Amino acid sequence: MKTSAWIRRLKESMRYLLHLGRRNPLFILGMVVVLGLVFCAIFAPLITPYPNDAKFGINFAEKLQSPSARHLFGSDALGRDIFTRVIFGARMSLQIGITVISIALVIGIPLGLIAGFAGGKIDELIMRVADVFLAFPSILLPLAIAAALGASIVNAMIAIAVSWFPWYVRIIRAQVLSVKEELYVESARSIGVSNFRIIIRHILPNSLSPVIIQASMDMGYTILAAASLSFIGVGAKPPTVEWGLMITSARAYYMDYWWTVIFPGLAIFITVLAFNLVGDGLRDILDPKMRD
Amino acid sequence: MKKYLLKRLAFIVFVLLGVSIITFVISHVIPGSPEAMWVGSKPTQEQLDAAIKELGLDRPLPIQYLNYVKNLAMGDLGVSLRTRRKVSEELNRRWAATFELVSVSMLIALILGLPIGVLSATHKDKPLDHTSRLFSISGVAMPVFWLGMTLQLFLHGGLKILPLQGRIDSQVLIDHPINRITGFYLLDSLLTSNWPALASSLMHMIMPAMTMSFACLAIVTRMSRSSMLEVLKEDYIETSMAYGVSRVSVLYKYALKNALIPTVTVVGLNYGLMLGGSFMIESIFDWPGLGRFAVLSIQTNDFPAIMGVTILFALTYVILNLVIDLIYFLIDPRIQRPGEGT
Repeated sequence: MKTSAWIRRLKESMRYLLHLGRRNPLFILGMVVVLGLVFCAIFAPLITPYPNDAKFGINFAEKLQSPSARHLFGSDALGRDIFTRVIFGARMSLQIGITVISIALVIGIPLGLIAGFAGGKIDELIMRVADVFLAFPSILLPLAIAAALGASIVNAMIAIAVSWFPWYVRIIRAQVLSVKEELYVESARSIGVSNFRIIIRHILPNSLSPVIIQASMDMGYTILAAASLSFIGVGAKPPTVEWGLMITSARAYYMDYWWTVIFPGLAIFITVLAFNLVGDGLRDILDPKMRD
Repeated sequence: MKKYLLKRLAFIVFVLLGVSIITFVISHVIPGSPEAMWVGSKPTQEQLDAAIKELGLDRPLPIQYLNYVKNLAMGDLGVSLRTRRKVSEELNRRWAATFELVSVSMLIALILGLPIGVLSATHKDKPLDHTSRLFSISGVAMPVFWLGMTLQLFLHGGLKILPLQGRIDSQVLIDHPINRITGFYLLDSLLTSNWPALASSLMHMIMPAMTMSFACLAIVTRMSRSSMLEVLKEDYIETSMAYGVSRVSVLYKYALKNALIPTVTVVGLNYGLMLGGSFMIESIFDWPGLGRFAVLSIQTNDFPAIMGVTILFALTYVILNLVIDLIYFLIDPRIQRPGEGT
């Protein structure tokens, strides 16, 4: 009895996936790429030909080889296999995305809830401070913070998270403002439910969909921002294997050896694109009104 | 209206103070010693002590900050530790290069983005629409530095039709010096009929401007597509169609005009994106502007310079957004003037 119910459930969700795929093939494409990325990150040592090249493997005999069967994406100035390093780079990218988004959510969600729920002076204070953070054009603030903290990938992640959390404050606050007027909140209050419980049980769950959409897109943008910081020289440092750093390291000679920058850059591009497609698709599913 | 403006201006002052505090704190925790940089190589202890006094680093941080703000209010941004020139002078020498690049890129993004967006809307869910949507998602997903390097590989390395980097050929600049009027090479050489300089700076402009405009082109396209779709649903469009007004004139005379309004607001957003992109793009193309200056300053812990650039960028960004908000309700009479009514 139980197994048959499970099978029916499974069948239903498969049908739903199929339906989604037909309506939004780009979402499925994005999901496939993201899952592929996760696969690469987990199994990197098993699926790459020269796992040692992701650590200290220096092999001058193999340096700057063009792409071939031996080196699918060619090799860099230290003779390291670029294909191997691109696959290992997936690990760093996922770490960056997950860490930054988690920090931004942990700071942003409570502040947004408080600002939206409390209103008045507290709201004013939180939002004006958020506005100051948002007044910096794009990469400028993470750049300044990362420079101050000193170049390392961890510092770059902190810098990006600190600069981006105000966006989540703003999104959550806007949601809370509309959700808290709903009848079910009113009725919860009327039967004497505590504020804390109202926020956690009623307001938060109903405010989350735009956050989920934004977070899935930001996974990609975070990776992009971290790569940009590495490129400027305030992000990842060797021996970290990070796509942006791979491109910077090739700056002295890329005009003669195109593969040293093209493949790591493609990896960034495809990853960010995939997270974007996933976010776009999630918007379709979670928030049908927002379509187009 | 007056009240609204005052409120916005007060907000700008508040933001600037916030920005200056943040950047001040940031630049004072930067590891490394500014006094050592000020003195130069192999300093003696006396020299270092003198430098600390000279730079005011012996005073407590709040006092240092107050001094900084006092000078800032008078337009004095301090002295660059790296070049030993006034930061305001350094910024003044470089801003034209950056703003010329940004303006040209913005122009490209608008000129190409609007028609693509309109076509995409009128061909909704057709192959043309899908292509342009994929293209606009790509625009924001692509690392700008990588796009720039790829263009260099292709147009300079492969096809050999464009110069690798720089703002103008230095030999051309020696033979045909540009009279500085606006500081924009393209404009100045055009105004003074300096054709060789115009040709050279135009050739140097193509790749950086393409790189910079790509992401913004994506945003403009997406925005004009969605606002065009919105407008096309309106009754007056259908009415005009029913009256037999030609399709082209309905689209371009009635619909586009109204669809333009939301698109204008994204220009402000784009501007921020471009300033951010200038750090990387100017570094790759060796463009002598603010972005490259900022990167050099960051790499050498030159904190007065870092603060100067940051404040200048944030200031232009908030002011531009204010101007756009004002334009927004000047061009659309339906929007209630802020401060009047609710």
